Amino acid sequence: MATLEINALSFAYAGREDYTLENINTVIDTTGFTLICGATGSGKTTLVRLLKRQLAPWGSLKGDILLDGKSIKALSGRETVSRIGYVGQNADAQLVCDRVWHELAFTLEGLGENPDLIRRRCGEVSGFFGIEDLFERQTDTLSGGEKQSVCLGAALTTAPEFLILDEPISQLDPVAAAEFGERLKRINGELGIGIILCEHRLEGLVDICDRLIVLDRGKILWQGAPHQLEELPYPCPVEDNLPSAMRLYRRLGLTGVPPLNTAHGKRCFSGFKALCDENKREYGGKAVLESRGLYFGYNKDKIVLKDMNLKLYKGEHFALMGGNGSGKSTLLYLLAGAYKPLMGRIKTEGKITLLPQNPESLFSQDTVAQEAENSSLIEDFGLDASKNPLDLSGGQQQILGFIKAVEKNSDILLLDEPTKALDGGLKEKLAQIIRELNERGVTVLTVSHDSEFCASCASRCGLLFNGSIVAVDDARSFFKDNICYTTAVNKMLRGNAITVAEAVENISEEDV
Amino acid sequence: MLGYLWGGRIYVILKPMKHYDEFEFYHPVINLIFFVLVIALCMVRLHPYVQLMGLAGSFFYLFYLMGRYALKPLLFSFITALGATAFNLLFNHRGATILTYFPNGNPLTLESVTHGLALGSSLACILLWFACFNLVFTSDRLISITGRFSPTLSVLITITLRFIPLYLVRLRKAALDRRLFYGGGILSGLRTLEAVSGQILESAVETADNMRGRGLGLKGRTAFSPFVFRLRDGIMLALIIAVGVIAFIYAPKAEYLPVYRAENMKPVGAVAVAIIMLLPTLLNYIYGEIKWRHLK
Repeated sequence: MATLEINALSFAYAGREDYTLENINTVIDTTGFTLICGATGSGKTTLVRLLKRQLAPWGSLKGDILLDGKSIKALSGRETVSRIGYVGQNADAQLVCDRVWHELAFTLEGLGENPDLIRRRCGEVSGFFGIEDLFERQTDTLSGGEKQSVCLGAALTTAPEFLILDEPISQLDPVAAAEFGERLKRINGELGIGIILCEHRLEGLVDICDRLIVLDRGKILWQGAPHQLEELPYPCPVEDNLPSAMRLYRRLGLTGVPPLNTAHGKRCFSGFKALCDENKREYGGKAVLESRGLYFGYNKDKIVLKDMNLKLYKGEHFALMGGNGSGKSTLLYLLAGAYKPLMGRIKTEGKITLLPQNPESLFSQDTVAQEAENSSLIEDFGLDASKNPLDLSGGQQQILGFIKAVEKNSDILLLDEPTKALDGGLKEKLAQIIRELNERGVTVLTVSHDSEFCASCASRCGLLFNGSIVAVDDARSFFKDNICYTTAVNKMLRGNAITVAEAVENISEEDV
Repeated sequence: MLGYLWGGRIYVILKPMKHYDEFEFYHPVINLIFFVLVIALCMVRLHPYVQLMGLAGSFFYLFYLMGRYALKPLLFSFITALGATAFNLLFNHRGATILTYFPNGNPLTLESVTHGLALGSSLACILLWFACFNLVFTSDRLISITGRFSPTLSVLITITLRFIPLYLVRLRKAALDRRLFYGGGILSGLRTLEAVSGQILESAVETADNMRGRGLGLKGRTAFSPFVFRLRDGIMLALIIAVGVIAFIYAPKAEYLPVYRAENMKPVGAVAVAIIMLLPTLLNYIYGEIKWRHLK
């Protein structure tokens, strides 16, 4: 068996006393699918980067890492490059070339392979992934999911023994993320290339991996196969990031092998139902933001929004869902006044603040404390006030952006994917603060792919399709009647519960 | 070089409008040599026949590639040509045939008008040929040519070509986001630049790590190119060079000042100039049409 053996590994970053990783002992099967998870700051990125010499961070390292019984330090640079593939989190920083074909050829060029072999491998990989159409494209014209697929393809061209992936899907929307997960499964199953994946969002991944390692503050908390997950202590630090079915199962204190995905969950919970009170809030009166018959497009070839009508009332939280490229973000920019609509009118009352999808461009100060003054919120979210905003993780930057937006005391807040790259605990906190803002009369419009989040804090939801909103309803009816754009809980459980918390409160057994 | 980088952006915008092109099937070396030859010919031979052929060839090719979108660069080059003519007749007073006098006493000569027209058309030719060049000679063609000489140089170019649009896109996005969030201001542009530069440096570190992890810096780097030099490329190359050299030698010369004097046109020169200038046009409108019709 090809193995990667990690013996008594401890690591501290240069200039720091505390150990980021402490006494890690594990044996990873390099032909299998290993999922490493842990909350932000648990050391999972450090661990996987140590596995490839060129990416290893600076610091003091104890213990050793053996690949097939040989220390990885003994591998030559060339061997490391060709035997171990790596895909990171930020697709934009991963792509080094102007064209997709060059990106795919890059590693093989570095290894000095001849053009015929390169041509063959590029062809094979593109064909396997179905990215042939992208082959001659310029990399900056690709979508996020396409970029990540190209990175994955580029890592495969050397025919590596295994791939290391550092949170590759945290920046992707759920559709692209699911597709990426499928690809990983195919690489592992059909090509026999091992996968070592670290990720904090576990929905859809637990059931395709064959080994799970849970890290907590630099130590291994638990490791085992998915069918042994019953033994995972409750509550664990990744509790909020587990798949919904498993979360519900564990919250209810049931015993046995927990369900790993929605289908398992549906079988598991077939004898239960959850009925919640319908507490519809009626909104009426004058709208604080109203758009009527809005048309907009960036150029003549594609009109993004067609006859778009939307009304927002004071103190409500409206969540807008919809596929990629359906114009959700465009609508927010239009409402914030970045562009003029081609036709139609937008009426607003009060100050509007737009929190963009990548709030890092809003930061220009040296520390978090200088960037945002609201220290109670900073503390609430557990941000380190002395850190440089650019050193924060993606999720933490999102939170800092949100705090800045709240500080502006606007009447209307427009949030573009506020839960992207956020882990479960922070998400709940964010939902709670949005609810508090609503009570203070602030209107919030969220654009999101995260149905769980929208279900937990939105009062009304809508679906943007083909340029206009096709379904507007209060959150419960919206999710209850949808079949795709809905929460896992609604898919699994009979009744009208839409979030895990509601389901736990209201669940009852019923005779089937 | 910078012009080329911008050219890359223009290419992205124009790409969907670009028509199927026979000339693009040839190896990038051939595209490059062709454009160098025709542009040089339009620059150094100001004879009306050469200029006319140059204008016709570049215009037909551009029109073939872009359709009605070719009107914009055409209009631009027409205005530039008129500007050059006007400039020449206002400030160049040499020439034997005096037509009239300007109010300040300087003469307006027939030769300054014709010379201006020749210069203007030469400029217009160059602009139109460059417009075609931007569409045909894409960045991957540049990279695959440089890769033949130096794989490292080609990596350097590709990284630059990737980095600049990335930076510009981020800058534009960040400027918009910040304007909406903070409102405008005198220093807002500077602050945006500062914020984006920080981000870019941050991600550049990651990119550098990633490149090292993918074998940058190992000895014996090769350069891959999706283009292969085939026999037909060799034949085309020989043809272009032969016709080009003949055109340079036999293309009629003309002098405009002080008196218009032109060589007698030799048939071989006339044919060579016509062939080289109209090569893409002939390939696309005639050879391509015949080929596609027989296919059906």
